Amino acid sequence: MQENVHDMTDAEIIEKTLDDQVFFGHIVMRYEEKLSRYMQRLGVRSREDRQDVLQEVFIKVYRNLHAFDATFSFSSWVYRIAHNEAISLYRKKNVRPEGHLIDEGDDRVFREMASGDGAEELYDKELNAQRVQEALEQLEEKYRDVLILRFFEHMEYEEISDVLKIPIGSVGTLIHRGKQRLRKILNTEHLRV
Amino acid sequence: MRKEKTRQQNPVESGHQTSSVFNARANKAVSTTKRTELVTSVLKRIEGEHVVPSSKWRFVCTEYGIWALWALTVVIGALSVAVMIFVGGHARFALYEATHDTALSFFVEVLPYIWIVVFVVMTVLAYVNLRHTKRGYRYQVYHVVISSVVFSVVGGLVLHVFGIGSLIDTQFGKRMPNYQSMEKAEIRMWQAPKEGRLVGIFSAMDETDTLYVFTDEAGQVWKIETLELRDRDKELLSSGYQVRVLGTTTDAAQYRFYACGVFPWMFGKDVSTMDIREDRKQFVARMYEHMETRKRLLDIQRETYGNDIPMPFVEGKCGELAVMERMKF
Repeated sequence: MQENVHDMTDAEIIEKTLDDQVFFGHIVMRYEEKLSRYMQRLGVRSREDRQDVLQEVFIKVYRNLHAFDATFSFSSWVYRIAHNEAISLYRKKNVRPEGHLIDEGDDRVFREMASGDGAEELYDKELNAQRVQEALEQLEEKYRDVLILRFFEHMEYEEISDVLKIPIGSVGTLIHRGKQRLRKILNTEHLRV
Repeated sequence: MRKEKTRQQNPVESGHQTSSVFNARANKAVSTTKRTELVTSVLKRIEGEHVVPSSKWRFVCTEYGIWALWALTVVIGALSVAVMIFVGGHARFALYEATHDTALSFFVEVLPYIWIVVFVVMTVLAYVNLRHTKRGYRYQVYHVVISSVVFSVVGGLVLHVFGIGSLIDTQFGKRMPNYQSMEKAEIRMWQAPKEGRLVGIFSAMDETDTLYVFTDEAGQVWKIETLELRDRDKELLSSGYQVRVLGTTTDAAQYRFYACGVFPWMFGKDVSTMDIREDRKQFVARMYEHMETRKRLLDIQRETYGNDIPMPFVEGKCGELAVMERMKF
């Protein structure tokens, strides 16, 4: 019976949770690490802050379980709540999110993010994670948010649309423009060097 | 520090309401994987603070409420479109030269501004409502706006066909003194004796059939001179129906009015495009006749008396109306 829980989909666990709240623990376990990393990428640097925000996120998720529509992705729904809570934290503290994007294995992601038209040139410049991170921090929030979800959280356009509550068409546009701006910033930096 | 605060708030953790049953269930449910600190704190907080999922009905009602509000904005938008179609289709454009210098100034005056504002506001509200539905954010702004506009316009057309636009405009005009209905606007445009326009009903005529007694919209009794009216005009004037008279005030103190054309007071949803076209035809024909008459009289005057003396004929006044210049024959 216990093994079955791990094979269950999120929606099935939610069903169970509505009957018995302790099943909610599985939801917390499934998303704790992902959301913690996401929060970190959004700029919630302190572990304590992240723990507090995550606790609020999961309480909010639990409180609004009936608001979840099974025709949507549960993951996107949870990410949306987490995103909103992170934004609330910035507002409460009246601070600008500070990027903390570097993680092991992120180099490949950075290269992917900066690639596109004229990508070969960028590869030649031997980009490193540090430079891309700095460039990302200079990007407007709307571009940074989609790039993080797309390239770090590996989300599809529809999921990003659900997390950020923006039209699917805008997701593509923001990713495209975000990458262009990122390349522009990196190129400018290269020229300065 | 914050964690401590959380712990203080948590009666389960603080030992006030320790629930061994709950812990056992929780451990059983999440036993195959090591429970994290977060899992423990979240589950204990749920138990300790008696957190329960909000009622499903709350979310269902909210969603349906948003859709209902959207529908309401579309319906009100459709009503405003119906009134706009009614006003646009029934504004007396046929005789605009009689009341305005240009077609543009005519439209500027008759545009139903209040309904245009209502329509714009409803479109914005419809957009906001649709955006707040579960899937509303997925669509592009123009998709949401266009869909709301299309629903309102199509609805407005349907309502117009059933005469709702006319009904709203007329009833609002009757019940709200400050509401400028189409009918009120028409009366305001035509009840202007100083500018040579009257709206009213025939009362009596003299024996020679040249002077008609006429009561205008304001209740003022006028003596209408009919020298330049055709038989059709006289028949219409004496029909007892409300009519519009175009001409010029010859004696304001005696309330004498020199008539140059009589046109039916056509108003309401029953007036067809054919009626309006016919009205225009009659108006243009009448004005053209007046222009021809004046030209003929001027030629006779020039040939007989030369250019130096003023026009000796009683007739020909209608050819001097301001409307003749606007007609540009």
